[in-house]
Amino acid sequence: MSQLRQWLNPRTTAAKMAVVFCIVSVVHYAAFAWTKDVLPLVADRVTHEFTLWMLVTYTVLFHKDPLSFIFGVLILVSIGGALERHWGAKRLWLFGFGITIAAGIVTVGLSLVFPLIGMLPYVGANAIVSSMWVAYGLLMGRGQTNFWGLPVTGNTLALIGAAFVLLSGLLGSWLAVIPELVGLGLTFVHVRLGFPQDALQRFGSWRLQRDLNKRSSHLRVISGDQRNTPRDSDKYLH
Amino acid sequence: MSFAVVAFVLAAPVVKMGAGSGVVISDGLLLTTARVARDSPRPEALLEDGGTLALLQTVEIGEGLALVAFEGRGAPAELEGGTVDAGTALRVLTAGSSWEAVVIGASGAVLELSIPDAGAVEGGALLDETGRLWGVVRDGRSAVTSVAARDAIEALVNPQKKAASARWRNLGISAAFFLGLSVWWVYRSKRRRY
Repeated sequence: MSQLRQWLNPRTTAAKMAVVFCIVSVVHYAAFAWTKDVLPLVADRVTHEFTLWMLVTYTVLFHKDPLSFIFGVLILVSIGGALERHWGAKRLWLFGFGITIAAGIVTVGLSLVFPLIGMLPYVGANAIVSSMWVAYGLLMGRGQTNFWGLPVTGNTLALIGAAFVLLSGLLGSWLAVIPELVGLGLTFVHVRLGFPQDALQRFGSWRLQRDLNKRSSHLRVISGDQRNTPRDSDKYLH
Repeated sequence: MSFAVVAFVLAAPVVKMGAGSGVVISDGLLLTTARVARDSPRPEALLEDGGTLALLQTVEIGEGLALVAFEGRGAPAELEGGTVDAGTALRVLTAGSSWEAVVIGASGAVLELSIPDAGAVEGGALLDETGRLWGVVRDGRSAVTSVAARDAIEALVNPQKKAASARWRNLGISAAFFLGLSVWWVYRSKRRRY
C-alpha cells in the first residue's frame, strides 16, 4: 500500500464517517427549507420543545462552506484514520460522537445562562474534526509528525488545530463556535484522563491499592539483623 | 339571485377589504387571506350596510390566512367543525357577490374548489345553503377549511396548549430516535463479534 493510500485509506471507519457527513450535509443544505428546523442544534428548541434528537443529528452537519467540507473530509480521513489505528474503530466513534454530543449538551446548558446562544442553529461535524485534530496532536505529544509537509511536534499540531477554532471565533463570532470550543476543552480533558473505561479502571486500581495499604498498616518492615530476637513472637510462624 | 340568497347576503358576515373580502368570525376578529390583509390600502373594512370596521392589527396564522382584529360591530359566523365531501355544492360569498362552488377534493386543511366564472373571491366565505361557514376562500381554486382555521386561531390564542402538544410529540420522536440508534448500535456490535 502506498504511503498516500495508507494516509488517506478510504476503507477506514473515519473515511466512512466523512462520507456520511458529506451526504447528510449536502441533503440538509439542498432541502434546507424542510430540514432547517429538524437537524441543526437549536438549544432553545431542545429545552422548550424537547427536540432531543438534535443533540445527535447536528453532529453530522458541516458548515455551509466548500472549504469546510473539503478540509473537514481530508482531516477526518487522514487524522481520523491515524486515530483509528491507535484506538480502534469503536473508540473513534465513541470519541467523535461522545465529545460532540457532550459539547451539544454543554451548549444547551450555556443557553440557559446566555439566551442568545439558544437561538442560534449549530452544526457539529466541524467540532468532531477539530477535536480529532487536537486529540491526535496531544497524543503525539513531543513526537514528530507533519502538518502538510512541515515537520512539527504533536503539541504544535494540536496548537495549530486549536488556533483555527480560536481564529474563527475571533474573526467571526465567539457564539458561532461554542460547540467547537467546548469540544476542544473536552478533548484536552479526555486526552489527560483517557476513555471512561480507562478512568474507571484507574479508579478501581487506586481503591485496591488504598485497601491494601490499609490492611498492611499494622505490619512493620524488619531489617535483616533484627530478625528472631528474643523479643519477637513466633506465634504467626508455621 | 333567489330571495333566500338575497336575505342571506344582507345578514352576511362578509366585509369588503381592499381587493378581497374578509369573514367576521367573532366580535372583534375577522378572517381573510394574508395577501388581502397585507395589500389592503386602508385600515378599515366596509360592511354590507355601508358601515365600516376599523382594522387594528393583523396576524398571519398559516395556510395563507390572516386574523385581523377590528373595532366595530359585525355579524359573526361560526366556524364549522365537520368535514366536507368531494362533490358537495356550496356557495362563495364575497362583499356584494355570490358564486356557485363545488368541492372537487379535500386534502388536510385545504378544499379544492371549482368556481365557474370566479371573480375576486379571495377572502370570501364558503357557505352551505343554511349559511354554515365551511371555509375561507384562498384563491379561485381553493379554500382553507373552518377546522384548520379554528385550530390555527386556537394555537395563536392559546400557545401553551400548542407547545405542550409539540413537547409530547417531540419527546415521542426523540424516544423513537434513540431507541433506533441503540438497536443499530447493538446490532452492529453483535455483527462485528461474529
